[in-house]
This record gives sequence, structure tokens and C-alpha cells, in this order.
Amino acid sequence: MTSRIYGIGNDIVKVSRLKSSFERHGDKFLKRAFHDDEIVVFKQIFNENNDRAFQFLGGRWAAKESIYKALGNQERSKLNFQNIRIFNHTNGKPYVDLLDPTNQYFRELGIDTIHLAISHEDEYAISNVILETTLDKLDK
Amino acid sequence: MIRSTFSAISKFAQPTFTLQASTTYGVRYFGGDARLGEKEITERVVDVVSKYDKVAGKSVSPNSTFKELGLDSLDSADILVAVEEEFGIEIPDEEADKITSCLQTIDYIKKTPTAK
Repeated sequence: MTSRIYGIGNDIVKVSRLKSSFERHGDKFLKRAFHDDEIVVFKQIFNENNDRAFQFLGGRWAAKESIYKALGNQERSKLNFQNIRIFNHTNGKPYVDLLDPTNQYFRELGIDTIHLAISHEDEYAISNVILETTLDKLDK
Repeated sequence: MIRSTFSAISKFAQPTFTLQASTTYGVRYFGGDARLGEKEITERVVDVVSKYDKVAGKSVSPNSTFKELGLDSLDSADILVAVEEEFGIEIPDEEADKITSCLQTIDYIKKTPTAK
């Protein structure tokens, strides 16, 4: 099956911004952007290493923003960041797991695969995303 | 079809949100409207936005968009949580994602009867 790139997106975020929002609003802020499962992982890391925990959050935020940007001119309200879960394989490679209705929305757009990379350097977290689609779906 | 790597994930529980339900049994309002006035809502929203550190020194009006104030999506998320705390409400995510200005925030509060 032939496939092609649907869109690319990237994002960079200052990690301290996540820390500052968390310190101001706690779980209310976390629940605005992250899935409960991501929050659980954040808190596990937080108990061991405060700085690393906010790098984790920054990477997740950048990944979700990258996906939004890769979609192009789509309505943000159709995405719901909580339904875009970013996890890691056992080898550390991040991957995206979409929950409905966001998953269904991506299917309607014809997006088959989401390629994701996340990186951190002290104060910054960045992410790159490539969305892949099949030709026949786009040509319909 | 989303690749199996996206679907072969253990099923986690969906996040649950509890609606703030006020118990008003036995309380009757005869023509009284407990909703906040537009002037008060406007002043409090502008105040919340003005207090956000990235907005310091900038002039905030009810017509200010978050973009005009130099705010991005992460700032918006923070400010809307501050608005939720200010008015004692919970803005659903799909609604919050549509709010990109002070005026849209004010309009949302105006149509939210539980806002305090």
C-alpha cells in the first residue's frame, strides 16, 4: 500500500513553564492537558526526581502540540489533548495512543500512523511529529 | 487503519469528571436571578488575565485576544484553570479549547449558571 506524509509538526517548550503551572494549579492543570495514566507516571517520576518529572511533562506537552500542528488548520477543540496519550516502549521510544473520539477523528482524516520523537535538554523539551496517510484514502 | 502499535495497548480507564451539582432541594427562587452580572464577570475575567505573569505591564481589555497578549496554548490552559478557580466552575475541555480571548471567556461564564 502506498502511503504519503499527511503533515509534519514540531514544538518546543520551556520546562519551567510546566512546573510553574503545576505549582499554581496542581492536578487541575494536569487534567487539562494530560490523561490520568500520564499523570500517574508523572507522579511516580516526581517522587524520585522533581526536575525529570517536569521534563517528562514538557516532552508530553510538546508532543501533543506537534501533533496539533501536523494536522494543519484543524480545530483544536476536536483534538482533546487528554485523548492523545504519549507512552514509551520498553526501549524508550515514545509512541502515541489515541482514545476516542480523537482516534475516530484521525481515522476520518485518513491518518494511519503517527511518527513521534521527543528530546530534552535541561530547560527545554522538543518534539517532532510526522503524520502518515495512505494515498487511496486521500484521493477519495 | 491505525497500526497495531497504537491499538495494542492495555485498556486504561477513561478520565472521569464529576459535574458540580448543586443540591437545591427545598430552595425556591421567585423571580430572583442568582447569576453574576456581566459587569462583574468582565471585571473579574480581565483581573485574572491581568494577573498572569506573562501579561504583566500589558493593557488588558475585554476585547483582548490571548494571541494579542502574547499568550500561547500553554498559557491559555493555565489561565483557563485560573478562571475555573476564580468562578468555582469546571470548563469542559471541548469548550476550553474554543476559548481564545477574554470576550469568549466572559461569554462562557455568562452562560454558566453555577459560576460564583
